[in-house]
Amino acid sequence: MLIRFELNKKQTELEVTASETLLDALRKAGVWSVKHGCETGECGACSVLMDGKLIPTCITLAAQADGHEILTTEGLTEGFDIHPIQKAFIESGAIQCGYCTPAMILATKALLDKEKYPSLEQAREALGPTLCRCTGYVRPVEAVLRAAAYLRGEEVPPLNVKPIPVEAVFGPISPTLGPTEEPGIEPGGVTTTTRITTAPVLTAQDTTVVVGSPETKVDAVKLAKGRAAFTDDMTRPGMLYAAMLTSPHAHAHIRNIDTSKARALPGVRAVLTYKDVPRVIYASGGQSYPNPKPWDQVSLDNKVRYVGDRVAVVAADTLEIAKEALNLIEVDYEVLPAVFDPEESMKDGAPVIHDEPDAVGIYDAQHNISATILAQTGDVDKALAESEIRFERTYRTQQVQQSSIEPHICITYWDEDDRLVIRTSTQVPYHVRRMIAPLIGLPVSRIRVIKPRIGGGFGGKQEMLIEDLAAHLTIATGRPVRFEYTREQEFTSARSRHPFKITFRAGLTKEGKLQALEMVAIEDTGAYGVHGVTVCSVAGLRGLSTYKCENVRFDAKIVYTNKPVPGAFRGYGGPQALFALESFMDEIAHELKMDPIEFRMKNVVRLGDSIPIASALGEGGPVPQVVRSWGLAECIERAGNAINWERVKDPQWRYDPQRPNIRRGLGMAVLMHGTAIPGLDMGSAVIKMNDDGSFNLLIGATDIGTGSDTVLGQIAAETLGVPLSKIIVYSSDTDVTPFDVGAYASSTTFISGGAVKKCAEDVRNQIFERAALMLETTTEGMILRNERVTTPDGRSVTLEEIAHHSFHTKDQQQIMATASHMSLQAPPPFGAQFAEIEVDIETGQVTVKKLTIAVDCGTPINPLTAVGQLEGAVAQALGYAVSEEMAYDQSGSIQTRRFGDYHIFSADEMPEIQAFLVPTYEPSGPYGAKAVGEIGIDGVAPAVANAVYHATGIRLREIPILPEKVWRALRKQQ
Amino acid sequence: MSAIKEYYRPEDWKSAAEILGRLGIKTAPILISTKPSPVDKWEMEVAVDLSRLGLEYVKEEKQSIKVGALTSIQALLNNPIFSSKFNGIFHLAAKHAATAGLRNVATIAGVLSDFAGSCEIALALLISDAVVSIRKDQSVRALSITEFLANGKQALSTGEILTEIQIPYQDGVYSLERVARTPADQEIVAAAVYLHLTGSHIDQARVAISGASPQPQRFSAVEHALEKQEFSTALVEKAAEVATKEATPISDFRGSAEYRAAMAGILTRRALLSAWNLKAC
Repeated sequence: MLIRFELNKKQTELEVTASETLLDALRKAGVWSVKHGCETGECGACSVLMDGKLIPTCITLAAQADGHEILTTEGLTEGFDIHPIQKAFIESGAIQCGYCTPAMILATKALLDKEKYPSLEQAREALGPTLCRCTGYVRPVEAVLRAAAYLRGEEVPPLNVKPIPVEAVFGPISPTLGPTEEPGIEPGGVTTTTRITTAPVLTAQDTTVVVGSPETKVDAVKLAKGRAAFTDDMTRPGMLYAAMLTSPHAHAHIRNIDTSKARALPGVRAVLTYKDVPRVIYASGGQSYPNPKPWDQVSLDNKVRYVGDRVAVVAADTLEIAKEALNLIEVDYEVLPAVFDPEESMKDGAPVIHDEPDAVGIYDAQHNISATILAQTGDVDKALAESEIRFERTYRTQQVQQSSIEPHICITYWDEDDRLVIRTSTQVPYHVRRMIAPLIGLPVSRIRVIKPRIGGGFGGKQEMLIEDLAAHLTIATGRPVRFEYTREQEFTSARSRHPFKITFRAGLTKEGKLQALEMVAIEDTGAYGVHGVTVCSVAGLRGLSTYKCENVRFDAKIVYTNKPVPGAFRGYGGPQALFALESFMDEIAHELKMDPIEFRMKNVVRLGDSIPIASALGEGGPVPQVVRSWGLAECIERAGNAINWERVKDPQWRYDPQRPNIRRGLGMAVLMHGTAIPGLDMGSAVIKMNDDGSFNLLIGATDIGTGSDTVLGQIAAETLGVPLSKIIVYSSDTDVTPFDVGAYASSTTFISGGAVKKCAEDVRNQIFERAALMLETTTEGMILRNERVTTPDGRSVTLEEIAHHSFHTKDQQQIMATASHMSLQAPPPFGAQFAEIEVDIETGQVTVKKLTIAVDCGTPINPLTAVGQLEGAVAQALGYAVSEEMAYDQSGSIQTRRFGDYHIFSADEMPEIQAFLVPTYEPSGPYGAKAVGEIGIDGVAPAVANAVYHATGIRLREIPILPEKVWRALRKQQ
Repeated sequence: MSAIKEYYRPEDWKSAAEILGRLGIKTAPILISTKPSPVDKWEMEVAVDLSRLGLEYVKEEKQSIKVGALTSIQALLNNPIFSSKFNGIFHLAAKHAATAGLRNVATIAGVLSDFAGSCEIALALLISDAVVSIRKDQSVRALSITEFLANGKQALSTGEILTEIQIPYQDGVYSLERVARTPADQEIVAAAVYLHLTGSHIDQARVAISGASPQPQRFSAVEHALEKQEFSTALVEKAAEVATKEATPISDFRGSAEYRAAMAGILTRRALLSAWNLKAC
């Protein structure tokens, strides 16, 4: 049927089907700013303004638009113009991945069209329909208010006057251990004491211009304008649509599959099952070579191990036909007993989940134990036995989903040279290229992986989750194939966070000094091993690093169950460990009648301390670590002051005379994370100079919305003495950019940034040599600043002049360099998380009123993006603490299959969040930087649990802290 | 895969009746709830868009407010009548119903056709003793909201359309209480109360609860316990106990049956006390 409507002020006609959604129709028409995030209108990414009202287009039939006015972000401006709302979003740091940005901008327009002077509450309410998993909504709400001021014609001060809640980008500088010219382990061990007393404090304050500046993101304009930047924002001639059949059973053998009816359906081009693809064992986690064992997966198997497991995949002319074909596939299942509890799973007689003979490296398949870890230093048993006081507590954490608003999606096609191109929403393009090659029988040289902009990852895309199936279909049909998960499949068949049961045992002196600490963990890895062993090792590291103790032990089992597979998720074992550790520390402090902060500070690692567990345990193998920068004390002070921690000492504050059923509470947690995987992670960069003195920066590092392209561009710009606008950043394409492990392990600024800095320094040296040639002098004493090389005697040449000279005049050369970087150091960022909550003692409902966090991430290369990382992580952590949980029925089928049921926090219900940066200078990092991407997700759960204890006296050792759990605990207390 | 094969947007009632009255093909109006199913799971083969039939309105009359069945939940929220009347419970219920985007497309008829999402609007209608108008061709019949909801999907026969909800003004106090995982999440349990009082004498009581039975409903035993009694703390406690006993909840990921039953009592008590306090104001 033909529909006629006004699209972005132009009369438009579209041919649509009766069942076609407005979302699909608009995207078919090339309106790429309208995004698919779910199918139920609950995420808001697909929103448009219809007759001025914000509506989700995924649940609106295209036919319903007939006769109406539709406005999308494309219609706000023409050409290169930027609308004031877009400008406000760009400047405020409101754009991270940018996938939901067009919808947020439209929501803002809908508000500001009616309300010239919006209140903060109205701004929050306006953004309520648009779920954002990146920002924590702090900056977008600011952007709404800023946009309102622009539209009122007011002078709006530039953001970099006082850009963020950081008082100063570089000061006051906390103590630093240094200097260290090159990362590495000192020969003969660590001699920290001398260094503390003799080394000067390093500061970059006087020496940086671009580094430390809240530059706007290099990709912000295109994201604000909703341009075609994401995987799905393109089409290919003859492209087919893939759909996947998944298992309705938690555990079953497939006796047979009959695909004849599906294949016979007109428009179906391929149906693939285990009968059609080679059986190649692999592990799907996007990790360095060789992938950690076990290798227990194949592309398509004759056994299914969880509800949602792969059964078959179809490619057809349309998605509707592909889905119809799925219904025609007849599967003969032999249903097997299933097990969902890891402790039950390890027992004799439990169903054996991996009975296939060709799996590699399973520790004990008969007892469903995927792997084990035992790591210790000192003599834990002796120290425990000799301790004056001993404590033991057990904690449990739940399975949660990354919920990036852009689902997993890839498009595969043959290029003109018969090479397979995989355009995919991935955090790990190079790992995908390497890992997929054996599965599809192509050499790496015939595979190209392109990573466009990514609509959020959070670890969920540190995985080769769907690319192999799309590639198999392209190989089978010879045609381009688009394969995207539905939101329901994101919950049933993507990855998630591992649930843990953690028991801590501690031995202490009477004075509260830690003597021994043991962490015993059982990790539920679901149906496949994937990231199980490495997540678990990080949990051990995080759980046993923060507090100084020579006698530590980590004893863990990674166990299969018939549940959807956990994988990488921001924090990667840290949030689980820190919930347990920081709850445990709080419990000990209270038992010892010590102030919780005082007790922690008595035991916490400090500048110059070694981290004993790092010598016994590590994701890429043990690598000894020493703390070389430490701003924890200031973090506690900043975040504690912001929440008014002093109230914790006032017993009356806990009560509200007007609301007798309410108890107030304060809680806190100390944070310590890692930066990269020492000795394993590697990044590289290429920089080449252009005629006008600009530079191309090519990096394999994968910006998934974090702002790493911007941060890496700033490092290059700083080193090359140019503004950021003169750095043209391109990431990541395996044919064009150099290798990088990808976006994970809080590594990009530190590792890839190290590579960029080295590379830029090499280019700078070439520039000096060229300037010396031009000025007939030596390079000694030359300065590169403000796009100009200046000699000590005051003569100078511009970069443009240097470029022209190098290309055209004498000893012609392309000024360019490449560099790689790895590190044996993994400098920990430190931080403090505080929470203020209210507990309804009748219903058990916990309402988080305020969250404050302060983090020492070394030098914040870009304070705006760094704070954005913290705010977004805190918002995710809030859901982890109080509401998010993948819930199952008795047959192992997920009950929370849509955003409405799973429920991630929306803008209109967020507590106040305040995030602070406490700069230090990390000697091993580029310009003093260390990580900031993950630490913010570690502390909300324990801080909230500790606050619930403060409020009510009940100790919850299991998250999420749902109303019913609190209610039960309160009843028990009574 | 979507079953929809045909789409119509009738311009008048006659055409609508013809389309909806067709036999042998599954025909239904497009009604969006606050927790809509994906389009490819919509069951109708013929989707009928009733947006041209003038069913989007809020009319204030002497005795009641009339709300067109296709009035969006956002329109309810925005309408000052609902902020000022009924002690604001419709405003509150609309705000809790869904995010603003969904509230713009979800309609009151959609909400009454699906109890999967927030049911607080249904509770507000139940305690208001609202009356729904159902039209087929030129004939219109009225049905109490209680009866309409009790009959579920069988409340409408082939070709019938829910056209209007009348909410009578009554001289009493209204209150609504809820518990949820987060401030904007769908309620685990919610309770709404209407009291007509003479002094402290309860002339009439209506109590409706969601999340404590398979669908939102009036709790008649609680109402019987309250009616013709003097309002007192002891009576409130008794009513709360009755609510817990009358509850027939299921367990799910939001809360167990035991918790839901307990909350039915607690929220009933709170709603009664809130109503009493409003009366005092």
